[in-house]
Order: sequence, then structure tokens, then C-alpha cells
Amino acid sequence: MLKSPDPLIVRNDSAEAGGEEFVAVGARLPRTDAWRKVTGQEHYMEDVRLPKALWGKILRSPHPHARIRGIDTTRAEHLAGVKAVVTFKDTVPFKIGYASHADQYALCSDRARFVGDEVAAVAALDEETAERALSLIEVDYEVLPFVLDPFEAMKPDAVVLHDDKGTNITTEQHVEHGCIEKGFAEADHVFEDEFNTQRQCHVCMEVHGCVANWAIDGTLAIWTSTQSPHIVKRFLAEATGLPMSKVRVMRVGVGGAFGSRTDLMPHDVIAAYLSKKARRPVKLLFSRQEEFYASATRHPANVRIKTGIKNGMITTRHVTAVLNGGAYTTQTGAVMGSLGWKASNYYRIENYRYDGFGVLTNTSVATAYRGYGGPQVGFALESQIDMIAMRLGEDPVAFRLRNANREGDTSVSGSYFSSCQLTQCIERATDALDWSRLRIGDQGKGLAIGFGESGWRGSYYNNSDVSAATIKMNMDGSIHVIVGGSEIGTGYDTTMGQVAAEAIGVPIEDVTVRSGDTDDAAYDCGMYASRGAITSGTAIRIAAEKIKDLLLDAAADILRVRRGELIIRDRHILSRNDASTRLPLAKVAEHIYEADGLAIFATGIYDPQTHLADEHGFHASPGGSITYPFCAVALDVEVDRETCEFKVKHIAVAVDCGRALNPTIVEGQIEGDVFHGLGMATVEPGLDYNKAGQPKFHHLVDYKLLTAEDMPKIDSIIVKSVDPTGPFGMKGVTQLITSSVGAALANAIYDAVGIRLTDLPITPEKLAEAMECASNAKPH
Amino acid sequence: MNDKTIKQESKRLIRLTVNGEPSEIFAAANETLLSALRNRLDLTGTKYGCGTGDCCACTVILDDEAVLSCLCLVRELDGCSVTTIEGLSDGTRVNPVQAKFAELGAVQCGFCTPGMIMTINALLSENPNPSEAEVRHYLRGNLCRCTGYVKIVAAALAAAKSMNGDTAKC
Amino acid sequence: MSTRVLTEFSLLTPQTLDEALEFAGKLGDRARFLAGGTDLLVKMKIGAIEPEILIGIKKIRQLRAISYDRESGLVIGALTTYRDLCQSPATGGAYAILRDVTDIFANEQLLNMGTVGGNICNASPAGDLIPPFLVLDARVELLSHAGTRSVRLADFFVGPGKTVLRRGELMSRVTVPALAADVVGGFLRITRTAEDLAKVSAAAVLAVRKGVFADVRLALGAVAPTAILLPQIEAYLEGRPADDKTIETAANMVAELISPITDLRSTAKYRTKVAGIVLKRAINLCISRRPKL
Repeated sequence: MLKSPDPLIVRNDSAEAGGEEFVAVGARLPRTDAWRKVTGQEHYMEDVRLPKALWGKILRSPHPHARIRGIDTTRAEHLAGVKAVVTFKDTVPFKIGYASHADQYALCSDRARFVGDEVAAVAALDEETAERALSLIEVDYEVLPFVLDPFEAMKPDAVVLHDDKGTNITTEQHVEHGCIEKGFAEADHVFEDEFNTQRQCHVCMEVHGCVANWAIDGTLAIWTSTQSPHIVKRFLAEATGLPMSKVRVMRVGVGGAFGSRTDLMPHDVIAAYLSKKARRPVKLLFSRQEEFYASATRHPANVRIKTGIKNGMITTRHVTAVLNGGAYTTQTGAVMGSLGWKASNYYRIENYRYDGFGVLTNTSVATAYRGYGGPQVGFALESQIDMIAMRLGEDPVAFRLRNANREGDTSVSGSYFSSCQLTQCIERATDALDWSRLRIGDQGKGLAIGFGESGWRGSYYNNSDVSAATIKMNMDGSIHVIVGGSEIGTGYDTTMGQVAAEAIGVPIEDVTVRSGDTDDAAYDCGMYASRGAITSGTAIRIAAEKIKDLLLDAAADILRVRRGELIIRDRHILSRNDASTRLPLAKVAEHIYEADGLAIFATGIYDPQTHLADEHGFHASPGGSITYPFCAVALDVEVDRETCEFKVKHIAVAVDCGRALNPTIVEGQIEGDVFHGLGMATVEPGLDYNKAGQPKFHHLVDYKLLTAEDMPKIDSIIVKSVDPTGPFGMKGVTQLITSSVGAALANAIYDAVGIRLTDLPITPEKLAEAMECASNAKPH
Repeated sequence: MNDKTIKQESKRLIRLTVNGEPSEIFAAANETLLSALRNRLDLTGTKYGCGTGDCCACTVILDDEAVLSCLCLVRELDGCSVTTIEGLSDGTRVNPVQAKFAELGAVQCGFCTPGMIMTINALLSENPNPSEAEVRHYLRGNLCRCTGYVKIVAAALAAAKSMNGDTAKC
Repeated sequence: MSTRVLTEFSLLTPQTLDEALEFAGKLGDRARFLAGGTDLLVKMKIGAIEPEILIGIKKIRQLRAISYDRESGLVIGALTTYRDLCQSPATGGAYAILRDVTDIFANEQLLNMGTVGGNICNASPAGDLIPPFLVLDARVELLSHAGTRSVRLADFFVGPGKTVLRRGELMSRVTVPALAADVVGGFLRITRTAEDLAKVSAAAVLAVRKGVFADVRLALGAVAPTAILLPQIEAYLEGRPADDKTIETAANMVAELISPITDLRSTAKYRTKVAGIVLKRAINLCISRRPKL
């Protein structure tokens, strides 16, 4: 049965790469981590083995809101096998979160604010003992009134979660570009609609956790599945009182992230303190039920949109959003800001206002999740476009094409679209679905566009969008690339290797990429906002140019020719003037090390210098990102009128992501984006709470993910586009499609059965209800 | 029977053949196969995803059948034979399903990958020439959060082709 | 308690049926039988039950067998797995209704692990095998140290997760009477995804003789505290013409006969709306399977 693997290097298809000659960019190269992953050798957190490691467990609040009057850990400490118990008292008081909005201690000080809030923790010889020890910790709770609904929480007499803030609206943003009052006054038509989206769970296949080792020499090492090693390092140092030089964060295999692993998280801090107290390494991993009720989620959102139309053009929009942030602010302000900013960029509008509210409630913390406000507002915006087109008797495709952004546009909020093939995306996606063909029976087709970012300055952590890369060339001409980002499953290490190979002129086999270790790599903000490839990629190009300089200077010396005539191709120095010149890079490298007494080593740092955040650290205008990907999602659906079940048969996604560094990886991102979007649109129920403030479910049997059997056919269309900003013309690709699928489905269902659903997820239950209402309302 | 006889039963030597090698585990009653593979035998390729049989990340082959190791008690497996993801390759050569996963981009985060590959191997030993619909049906329990399954299904079909000796490009 | 680890318990692994029954008789409420483990171990992990002792019965080979003859009908040992069920020649033909279940049940891994006895004794209102066995008029054989009794499956369930099984009693097998040659069966369900528990399930067996329904048995799952038979609708159909109008009328009778709840999978209202439709489709599935004459 076993046989040797086929040779895996697939040469670049120059058509796919845009007709230009590239060595590595644009090639469908297999991922460099694939062999480890298919053989079970990739090490994720739970696979990290350290001598004498203990198991950590967290005691979590069973109450949605309670004052903690006292914690007695005596019995737990005396249980055989227990090596450490920690509570707030053992920690440096440090609040996780952005600047003035930081409001979350890793362990509750005197208040627990949601079911799942971290109250105490133990480390023991094995998991069973650690779990038993949790049951021996006695917590004296004074149960407090609680609030679950953000609109309730916004009322002046609501229970306030954080006394020092005096309000549950811990973040809000009000911005206006142009003048909406004038815009609406001059409009031919004004439409106002309201939409809701659920609390989607990330459901990473690997649960959250970490391994921490606070060693005798006062250094703290942490192995964690983070998207942002340097961010974790920075804040973990603050949370432990250690200098940053003593904290090392090592990203291990990441079993899915999707935004949920962007931050320093309470369990990182807790594991560190357990390790400090036990003086042994501690491995702390969530159970699947903790993953549901205690780890973070997407923000449920209520979005109201008022849109003004004049002469068939969308001129004015006013978006109001209320986001349920859960018990602590963390990224709520940033997600809320991003939602409003994204909405400003969808069409060529002239006037825009955004009123956003991030509201705290006694529920699980909401955080970054694929799309970052996009799926909530994308569902609303693109549903409303179809609703408006219908009311005006317009074709929704033509309506979109007329209003769509084009290359060279600057949006109302100041984003400059250095490349934009949105109209082509719309045409390609609808063509793939045979759009104009007559619908038979209860079939329907739906379209939605998407807008995304690639890179984002002014994030929740810091006012930076920096990435750094170091390139070292060995004496044999092979290359190490050390980057500050993190391979989180997206193929980052592979595509960054491609960029380095292309930029220097060596085959990909000669490049080894190392990412995710804060001791190795210079600073990088992290893997969020689809920034990794564009910022790290540019940093790598900058470093690669320096390496090339070194090599070409040395080669010119060796060959005694002018440097200008030399190029690097396929491991060799070649001359433009003399075809016989063919000097191996290894020879040049050896010369530099030995004859010149130098090392081949260069660093590239890239900060796009885009806009600065406003004083709250939220998205501010103008601009926002380095460059912008666009997409169109078209899907068809068939509705069973009797049971109101529906089946999405086919999804076509056309995306303008600039030049695809690796089309296979880009397709993988598109397909994954569809998966998250379609799950949110259909079967993922959202984490809801009962009247007692308890989560309604804890297990995968209740929270469904779409299966291989449920997924429709997906066409991934990469529209030809070259962005002048990104390395080799690339842009970010992920997130924006997730933001589009919900509206495409709602629009398709309307097309099929004439029912408009404005709350996600769309279920047969809701459709049945709406169809019944519609038929009752119809005059007989 | 008294409590003492029940207690005496509390740990017992269990003999398993794991990836072709004899293994002995002094197992407590509550020890799952998943835990034994990972913590006793250091075979960490088999993953904990949910513990309740709802994700299939922990799939291994037990006596020629795909099972969920998180719901098997080691104590009930005396004399059984287990194959894990580590047993599919010998370090230099890999199984065709593994090869196609790597080649066709069926791997993203990789956490569901071992379970997927074990399940597809079980499918292909039952049905060497499955249709796309059959692959999708057989994989209905194996959850993946990254790929939308597109390239996983493609890899399974390509592996079937390559195992059937079809050298045509997939 | 968590889904990461099982809390401690003692495990007994009797080699014979007598030994198993003896253990069970002596230990009473302290012990539970462990078959495939796919329900019991999950319930333990999520903290729904905390048994002190499990009696693992996998070694008792005689409980894993399927046989069929006209005299005794279909006899299925309690430890028969779903995989056994779909692969046995005995479940072909008229018993295709059982393969309808194995075709869609959970996932392939659980098909290899889950047992017929386990699914029935778990007594979930949504247990997929239960409606088919109800319409097949199955009986279950219950053994204990004290003796043997045979119970109609229709009398076996008391409520969600509750059965008439007594302390120390073990279900050893399910028996299904032989069906008339022209009787056909079908099972259908609706779910959120391809791997899910039923929102509503329906099972039917029937014959159409000279254009009219005969020997009709109908059951629904997940619409009441237990899976239920529908004798009123069976009686209505019996002798009536096998046409769309009759079936439609029968389907419309369903809503009055069920008491569904709202849970995480669906709502009471929706279940009420679609239960009749699913039943109608199960009946039509049967009709489409009538032997070609």
C-alpha cells in the first residue's frame, strides 16, 4: 500500500501568475508544513512534552454575575497530587485589554461577570486530580443581578458590570463623512432596515490552552497556539511583572484560530502563575465545553441601515450598530469600529454616518472572529441592497454594478483603492452560476459583494502595523527566513518562503522559514486583519534586496564586472552581457563569509504608515488599510416549500486579492471563508443564554458545523489583478467572503420564495414561520 | 462479589498491538484509548477534539474498523490491534492518502488531518473506488473548520485513483 | 467531570452471560451495563450520570449475532453494531427500513461502535432505530438473574431516557416477526446537518393490496417524550386507497397526536408543522419500494 510520495514541486503556471516570469510566486507549491501534518508529527499545544509537567485546570464561575466574598483553597491544596492553587491574590494586578478600556483580570478579583469567568486554578500531577481539586475549592459567592441583552444593558438603570466605568457602553464611536442630513433630504428614496446576527463560535478543532514554564532562572517560556506571539509576549510581561527580555513566546502548531487566538488570554497568565507557584511546567488545555462557554465568540450585532438613493445611485448611508461585547471589553471597541469603517467602503457613497455601540453584558467575551465586524454588517448591507433593488424594481446585479467601487476610487471615509476588480468579480461570480437562466420551481439565486482589509494600523493593541523579517544566507547558498508572524494554518510559512525565493532568485527548496518564536524574530503585530502576507511579505522583500546587494557586490568583485549587468537566477549569478557567466551562489556566499569576513544577514522592517487610530484606538479615517481586496459571492438555493428546508447547491466566489502568491493556498482560504460564512448563515446556532444566564449548550452535538456532506460545490475564482502596493501585487484574501455569504443566502431565499429574512442564522424554523405569516397576510 | 474484588479489578495489564508493535499498558478503568495512545505511548498524532464523538479528530483503526479513540476504554481492548496516523508511514514513505493531502492542499491547520486520513483509509479499504458523494457521506462525522472540505474530498478521490494504479493526472 | 477525562469508576468484564447477570444482580443500582459506550461514556463525560461500576459486556460474543428465518423472524443480538446491521444479508429486502437508519446514522465511526441494544436502552426520543423497530412490531428480551421476560418495544419506553428495564436487567436481543412478502418499510428524518440527531423522524411499514393500504404501522420520533406509534392513523389508512389524497389526510392527522418540545435542534411549532410531512414522505417511500409484480 505504501509508496513513495510523488515529487511535490509543481512549476509555476505563468498564466496563473499573470503572464510574468516568476520562479516561486504564483506557483501551486505544497505547504512546507504538510508533511509534518499528514504524518501526525506536527506538535500542537497538547503534544508539547516537558519533563515533570503538571496539568492545569481553571475553576470557573457558575454564576452570570456574583461578588466573590472569599475563596478557600485549603482542601484543594491538601489533595494528594495537587502542586499549586492560584487565585487573584497570587498575581500582579494587570488588566487585559486596550489602554483605558482594559478591564479584565486573568483571575477575578472580587467579581465574576459571566458563567465561565476565571475564579481560581490548580496544577496537579494529572488531569483527573486537577479536576477533582477544582471541586474542593470553596468560593463564597454573593449572587448579583445580571443583564444579558445589550439593549437592556444600555438603559440608564441597568446593572453595571464594571462599577468604575459607570456604564455598560464601554466603547462607542460616532463619525460622519459628508452630511447625511443633506444626503437624505436630497434623496429620491430613503430606506431603513434592521438586521441581527448571532453569537457565532469559532469552534477551532484544537481547544484553547498553553504550556507555561516559569523557570528557576526567572525566565518564562510559553508554548501557545497564538496568532500574535509578540503581542502575547508584550502583555504577558506586564501581567507577570517580568521584563520583556525574560518572556519567550513560542507558537506551536495552531489548530485553527480565526481571530480567537489574537490576544493574550487569561489562561496564558494563569498557566504562568501556576508554573511559578509549582516551580514546574504546566500544561493547561480547555475541554470542548469550556471552549464553548468560556472562550470568546463573535459579537452578536444589531445593525440598522438607512440608505438614500438619488438617480439610481446610493448617495447616503447611516449605519447604527449595537454589539454585545460580553463581560469584558477586550476587542469590542475595535470590532465595533471596524464594522462601521467597513460599511463606509462598500459603494461609491457621498455621505456616511456611523453610530456604533459596544455594550457589555454578563455573557461570554466576544472578540475578533474572521471578518471582524464584516459578517455582521455585510449581511445587513448586502441584504438591504437587494431589498432596495426590489422596491425600486431594479435588477440587483445591475444596481450593484452601477454603484460598485472601481480602481482609483477613494471611498467616502478616505480609503484609496489602488486596485479594484469588483465589477469583474460580480460578473465572474454571476456567470459561473448561470445567473440569467430562468429559475425553476423553488430555486433562487443570490448575490452579495464583499470588502476587506489587508493590514490594519491602529489596532486594539498598539498604534502600529509593523512586520519585520530577517534573512540569513548560509555558505551553501541556502536561506533562512525568520519572521515575527505566525503560521496559523493559513500557509504563511509557505507563502513567505515563496516571497523570499522570488525576491532573491533561488528555488523554494533552498528556503526555510521560521516563524512564531519571539526570541528569534524581530517584532510583528500578529496575524490578523489579513495582514500577514502583505506586511511580512514586504519586510521580506526589503531584507531580500539587501541580501541581493551583498551577493551582487561580491559577485561583481569576483567576476570583475560591473554589478549592473549581474542578476540572480536559479541559484546562480548570471550576466546580462555574457551568457557564459554562471557563478554558483554558494561560491559567492562562501567568498563573503571567508574572503570578506562578513556574514550574509539582513533585516527588513515594514510599516505601511497608513492612518493613525483615533484617540480610542479604533479605526479612524481616512484610509485604514494598506490595500483592499474585493469579492462577489453568488449562490443558488433550492427551497422545499413543505418543510421549509433549503439546500445551497452551488457557490461561486470571485475574489480580487491581487496576484495570488499561491493559488492553492488562496483557494483554501476562499473555501474556508465560505465554510465560516455558510455556517453562520445556516446551522450554527450562536451561543445563547437561558433566563438564568446559563449558556444553553456546551457540546458539539448541539452546536453544529456543516459537514462534508452538507457543503455545496464551491467555485473559487481568482480574478486577475495586480495591486501596486503589495509584494508582487498581492493583497489579503480571507474574511471578506465570510462577510458576504449570509446576505447572498438571504437574497437567494427571497429570490426563491419571496420571503425576506433579516436575522441570522436562517433556519427552516424561521423560514416556516415567515412563510406562514406571509400567507396569512395575503388577501384571499 | 464484594468491594474488594471490584477494587482488585481497578488496574490491569492490557496487551495491544499498536502500529504493528506489541504494547503493554497497565490500564485503569477510566483510561480511554485516546489517552493511552497519547500519554502512554507518545503517539500524539491522534487528537482530542471534543471527547464526545462529535468531531472524529481522534479516529484510529481498531481491528480494521475506524473508531473514535475518545470513546474506547483500553481495558476492553485486550488483544486488539490499533493503527494510528503514525502507523501509516515509515518515516520515508507515506500512505497515498497522506501524499495527496500534502500535494493537493487538503491541509490547513492540520488538526483534523490525522482523523481525516484515518477515516479515508477506512473508506478506501471498504470501497476502493468511491464517488464524490460517497466520500462526502463517509466523512460526514469528521469536522474541519478550515477547508470547507473541498480539497480534502479531492485528495480522497485522488488517493483512490493512485491506489488503483491509475497514473493519470488527477 | 469534563469531556477530557472520565471520572473514576470500576470496570467489570464478565466473560459469560451468566457472570454478567450475576454481577448485575448483586450490584443493583451501583452498576450499569456498558455496550458500545457511545452514549454511556458520553453521558459520563458530560456529567449526566456518575456510575460507580460499569459491567462491560463486549466479551459476551453470543450477544452479537443476527439471524433470520420465517419461523422466528429477525433476531438481533443486543451487541450487534450498526455496521453489522447494514452488512448482514438478513437486513435486506423487507427490512430495508433498518438500512435506511444505518445509511444516515451519525458517522461511520459510530456505526462501528454503537450497538442496537445500546440505542434502544438509551431510550432517546430521537433514537433513530426506535421508530423502525416500533413499526416492525419488535419485542425485546430482557434477562436477569431472576429470569427472562419479553416485552413489546411499544411497551418498553416510559419517557426520555426511561424504560421498563429493572435493576440488574440486561437486554439480550430484539426480535422482529417475519413480514408478509408484500410488506415494505421506510424511514426518513430531518436534521440540521448530515451528522445530527433528528428534528423529526418517521418510520412506516405497509402493504398495498389491490390498491388499498394494508398492514400499516407508523411511528414518529422526536415529537413526544418517547418515539410513538400512530394507531389512529394506521386505522384510518387501513383499507383506504393508496393515493395522495388519503396520504395527505393521514398526514394532516399527525399534529393532533404529538407533543413536541422546543430544544436546541428545532421548535415545537416547526416539529408540529413538519411531522406529518415527514410521515407522508415515509409512506411514499414505502409505496415506491413496493415489489414489482
